[in-house]
Amino acid sequence: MTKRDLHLISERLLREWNLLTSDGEMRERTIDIDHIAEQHLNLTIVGSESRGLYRLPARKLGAINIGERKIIVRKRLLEDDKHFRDYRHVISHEAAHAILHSGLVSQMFLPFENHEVFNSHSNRLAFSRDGSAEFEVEANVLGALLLIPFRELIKTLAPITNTYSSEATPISNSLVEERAAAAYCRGVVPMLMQRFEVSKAVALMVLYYWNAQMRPPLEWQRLAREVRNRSSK
Amino acid sequence: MAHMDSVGELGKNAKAQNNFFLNCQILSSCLHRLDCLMKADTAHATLTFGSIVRAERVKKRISLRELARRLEISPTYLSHIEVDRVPPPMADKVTKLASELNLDASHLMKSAGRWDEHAAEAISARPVLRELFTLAFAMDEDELLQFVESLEERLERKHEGETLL
Repeated sequence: MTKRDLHLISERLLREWNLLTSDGEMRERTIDIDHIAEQHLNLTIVGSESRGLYRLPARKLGAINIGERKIIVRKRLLEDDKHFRDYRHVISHEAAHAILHSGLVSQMFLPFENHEVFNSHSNRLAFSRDGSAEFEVEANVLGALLLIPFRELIKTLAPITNTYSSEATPISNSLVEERAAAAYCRGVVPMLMQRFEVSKAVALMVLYYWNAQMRPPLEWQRLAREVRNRSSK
Repeated sequence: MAHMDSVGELGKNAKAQNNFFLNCQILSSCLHRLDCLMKADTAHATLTFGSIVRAERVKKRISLRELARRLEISPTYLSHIEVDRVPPPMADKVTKLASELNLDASHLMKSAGRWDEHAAEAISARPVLRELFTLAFAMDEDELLQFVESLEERLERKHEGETLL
């Protein structure tokens, strides 16, 4: 699965489910990830219990049973409103597993050897094991992209850079990168967290994702300085 | 196996070429299959109490948290009700659930296997009925079945008598 595939899938699905306008803007203020999981992906969300069928291993926040189409989420996240953003993170991550790794898309996109590895697990709880780390990264990224659609991200970052003119500007990767870099120094992470109702991890994930070469934050800081210097001239 | 191989090959090619249009086509066929799968799923679903509640809740687009808040129960408990992990809640909660989801209360009560409040009241109001149920609890299944049949017979005869008169 390439980076571009993930973006393509997220945009395509959100449009298919009528959550984005034809311009790629969100129809509602935030993406209703519960609704995506329950209605569109036919997944059942179940709170974890301390023993028995829906027990989660220690330190795991969520798991998905693809065979039974159930998401098991840590009880504390489901019940406490202060963990709502983390809850959305977990649901989006597991929903992404359901999209990518339930044998529908994965059969088509993944090389054969990966597919085989995956199939041996697919009917059990898809806990991350050695060798499935790749799947976890894919699920993290797709989950984050579902919560923060591209066009809306650009709109949110727009006030931060004064070079933005709304419709006329074609959006290029480098522009996004520049904005992400500028944003990094101006507390954009809390801003994204608030705007999209997401956890810090998701906000960072999306910023990393759109930073084309996956550079470390240090590089962003340098870029941000350049942007600032240019705009002050 | 030959089919699986070709699917694997397709995946490899798609990745190698990063062919945008091919990926689009593949994705739409995946979506179609997902659709079919979900339709098949709903067609064969057995209607347990939990599945009725879940289906109605999702249809009305109420989140697990929201409905749990309205019912004053924990979201985890509600989620366990929906997967039939725990028995349906007590009658008062079932009534509340029915009104929140705009469902027929007596129908929901029946699938919950609960007495409706009035039935329970009516029984406790009449000592004879209470006695009847206490006795019935001691009987085994066959005995009870025979008893119910004989009751039905008696009722029928009574009605016949009425029409004859």
